[in-house]
Amino acid sequence: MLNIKMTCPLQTGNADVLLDYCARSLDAERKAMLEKHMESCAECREMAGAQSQIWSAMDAFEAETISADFDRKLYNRIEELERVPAWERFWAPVRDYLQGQPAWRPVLSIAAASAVLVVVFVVRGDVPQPVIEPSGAIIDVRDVEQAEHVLEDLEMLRQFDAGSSGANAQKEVL
Amino acid sequence: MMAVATLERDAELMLRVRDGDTESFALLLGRHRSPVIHFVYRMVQNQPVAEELAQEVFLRVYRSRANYEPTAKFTTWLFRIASHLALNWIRDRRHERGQESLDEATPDGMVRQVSDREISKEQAMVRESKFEEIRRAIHSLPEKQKAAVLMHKYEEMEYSQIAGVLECSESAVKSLLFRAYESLRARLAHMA
Ligand SMILES: [Zn+2]
Repeated sequence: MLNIKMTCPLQTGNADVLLDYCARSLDAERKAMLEKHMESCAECREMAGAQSQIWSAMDAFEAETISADFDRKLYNRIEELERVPAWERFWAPVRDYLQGQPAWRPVLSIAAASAVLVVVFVVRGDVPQPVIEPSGAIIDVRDVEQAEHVLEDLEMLRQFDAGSSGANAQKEVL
Repeated sequence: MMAVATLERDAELMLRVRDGDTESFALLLGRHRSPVIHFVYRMVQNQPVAEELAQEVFLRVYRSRANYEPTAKFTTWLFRIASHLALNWIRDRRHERGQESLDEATPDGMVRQVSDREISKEQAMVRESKFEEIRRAIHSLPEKQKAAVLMHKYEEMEYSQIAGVLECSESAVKSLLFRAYESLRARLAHMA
């Protein structure tokens, strides 16, 4: 099997082989083929050497210790969420949004309410997120945003189910 | 590497959460708490913010439980939410700061303590400066490259899974990674 010569991964746009080699995730056969290739290819040898070095150097970027009360905080939030009935959870933000426009309220069905939310979503033109103070505390996560989150998460699930890629998640920042 | 068995286990747990089993949510949290927080931490480079955003990630998982269908890998979905929140936070933050370069700045909350008390002062200093160099180099990467590298290096995700999280093709992920590692190699060449 080693008789099959590997074409230079750097010249054929397959540099991922070198990344895999340095990450030690290449299977034995391809590893042997690449090593054979590197015997005669200085460019690949050099790249693999440099990549291996930064690969292990990156281990220095260790993660921090997680706060002991992380779970407790999360469960408190979940409990808060659970205390509100489901219909209220959906309706409250819409109602809040419509405050000041009471004439609308009696005629709004949940379906109409969701349409309003979609409009809010489109008009705002951005993806909602928690507002974070420099101290790191989330403040003022308003009900409107909560309902938007639900819509957004459902949208993520929907995209997922459809197996589509792209759509509305994040903008390209390359 | 995310083994098939692991993914099936997550989906199974999430289905139980959907059916109202809170114990299963605790198990899912136990399995994914650290990877999610660590990933977000390396993205935003601020531990309190990372924990707040991770809270939001798990809260969103919980809120979406009723609609969960195991058609997708749970971890891909989880990391999609996590990277989404982290990227948004970074963009908002940059916007707030008026595009100023954060490259050389020490982000808030980056006061680190050397946890291992047995190492000498010198060793601690060397470790600290290495940490700082790597941190800055990663910080300087464009967001999507950064997310790809963090998932590849620290979460050991495969190209296909990173592609699922970032909603792009596998070849786009390879290209993101190639460019990211190229920048890191150039920037950290002196460390070799
Ligand atoms: Zn070559």
